[in-house]
Amino acid sequence: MADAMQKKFQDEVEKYQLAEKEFQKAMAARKQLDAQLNENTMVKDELDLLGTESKVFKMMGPVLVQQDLEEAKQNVNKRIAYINGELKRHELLIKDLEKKQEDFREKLSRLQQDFQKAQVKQATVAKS
Amino acid sequence: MSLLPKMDQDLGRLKEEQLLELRNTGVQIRQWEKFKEDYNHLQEKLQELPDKVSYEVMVPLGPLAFMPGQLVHTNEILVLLGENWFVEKSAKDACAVIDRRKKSIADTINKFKEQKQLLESRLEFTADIQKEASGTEGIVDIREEYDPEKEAKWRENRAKRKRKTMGKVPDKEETDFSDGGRAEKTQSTREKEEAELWAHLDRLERQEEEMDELARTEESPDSDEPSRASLEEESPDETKKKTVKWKDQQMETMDEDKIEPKRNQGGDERKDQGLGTPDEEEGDEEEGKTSTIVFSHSDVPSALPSSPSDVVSSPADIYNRYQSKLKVTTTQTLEQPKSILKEPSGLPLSRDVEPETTQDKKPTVQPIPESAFSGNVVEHQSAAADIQPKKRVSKFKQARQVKGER
Repeated sequence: MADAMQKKFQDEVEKYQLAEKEFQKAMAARKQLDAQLNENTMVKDELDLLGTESKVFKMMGPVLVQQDLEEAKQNVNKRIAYINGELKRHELLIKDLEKKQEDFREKLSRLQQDFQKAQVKQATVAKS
Repeated sequence: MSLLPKMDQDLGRLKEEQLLELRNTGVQIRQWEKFKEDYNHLQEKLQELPDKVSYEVMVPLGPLAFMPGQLVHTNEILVLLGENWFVEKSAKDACAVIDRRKKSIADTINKFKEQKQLLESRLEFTADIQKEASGTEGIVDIREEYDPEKEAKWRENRAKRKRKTMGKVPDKEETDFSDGGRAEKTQSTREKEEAELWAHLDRLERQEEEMDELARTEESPDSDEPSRASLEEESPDETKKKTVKWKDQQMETMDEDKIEPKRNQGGDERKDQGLGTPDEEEGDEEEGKTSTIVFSHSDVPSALPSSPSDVVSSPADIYNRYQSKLKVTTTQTLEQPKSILKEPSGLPLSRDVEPETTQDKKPTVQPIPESAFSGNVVEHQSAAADIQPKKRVSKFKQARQVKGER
């Protein structure tokens, strides 16, 4: 009886750990997206300050390719929009995962309580 | 106390974490400061770079070799904007870019410094708590252990003791119950007794309420309930006492000394309204125990036309005096300079008012036990209101007419 309970407990713990890992991954991705967003915003600001005569280059691998200023601006804007979308998606994902984690935690604590009670019972039964 | 080591442990752990965070923040701050330094150097270099058209330098070829070469196009600088985007700029422009970046770095550093401060204050706080908990500083936590059973027992005892002092009931369980000395009684009997005791308590409470009511209606000096409706501003011995008392009280005590001086004063004092003259009490004798408030004006003293005394006890007196004075002066002199000030209830009006006031002021008493307000509050302004239906003539014209009449 106690063994079965313990096994159950272990399973739940594993599941919880998996959920935790996913949560961490989502968090890291979100952080990265945040940094990228900041960077792109800075680029946008700088490009806005430029006059039309300046040459804009994009580094693609080892090559610097020249780009049109307007084109560059549009590209950057699109990228910013894309990053925003991704960020929102990730936030939802994170909320979801957090809720799942809460559930797991609750389950685990309940199981723990039951387990302890069972143990105590067993001890009393063994004594008497 | 048994809790203390655990709390110590927890606090220690908290402190650890806080220190870690603090250290992290410190590291971040140092990193950003380094960036700032780098940018400063870069800016210096950029500023002196366009001084020469070309420089002789040793160009690194890989990690291990250098080659003598020249640095040309000294004013053309490719600036990395982020995300693999480059812009060609002049040295001056590049310096401007650097300035902007330095500004944002300074902002970031400030934020980190604020964070550091917050963390430090938090750390201080936990250190304080730890000190307090350990009790070394003379500040001790006041702790009371809570045991539900003991509380319940204590509460029961207290209730019983209360009942004892209130009702003087011969309590079977008067013996000392300080620490569970009733193992003999079974659960069921205890419950029965408790139910009885609660019923008794309810009865006593009801009794107390009734006593309150009685005390309110009687003016018994023995009653210790402070619920009498009497405002006593002066000592009871003075004859001119301002009190609001229930009519029932008056009937029983019949303190006519107190009432008399009231009658001689004007009828305008609000505190009078609970009192009545002995004439007016006729209707209230049926009321019995229930106390009601009946408002009625006492007699308006005949300070009006009959005997204009020198004592001014109501606004009406003032007008009368003034009026009589004015009558005298106009007969004596021809041209009395008329005052441009508006007279509140001017000369012509007061004369019309006079004959009517004596009629309105008959006090009427209507015993209406159900409502608190008997509905007969007559005011002086009703006299003025009666004037309205008459044709409105301007005061100047009126005055002229009056003059003409005279």
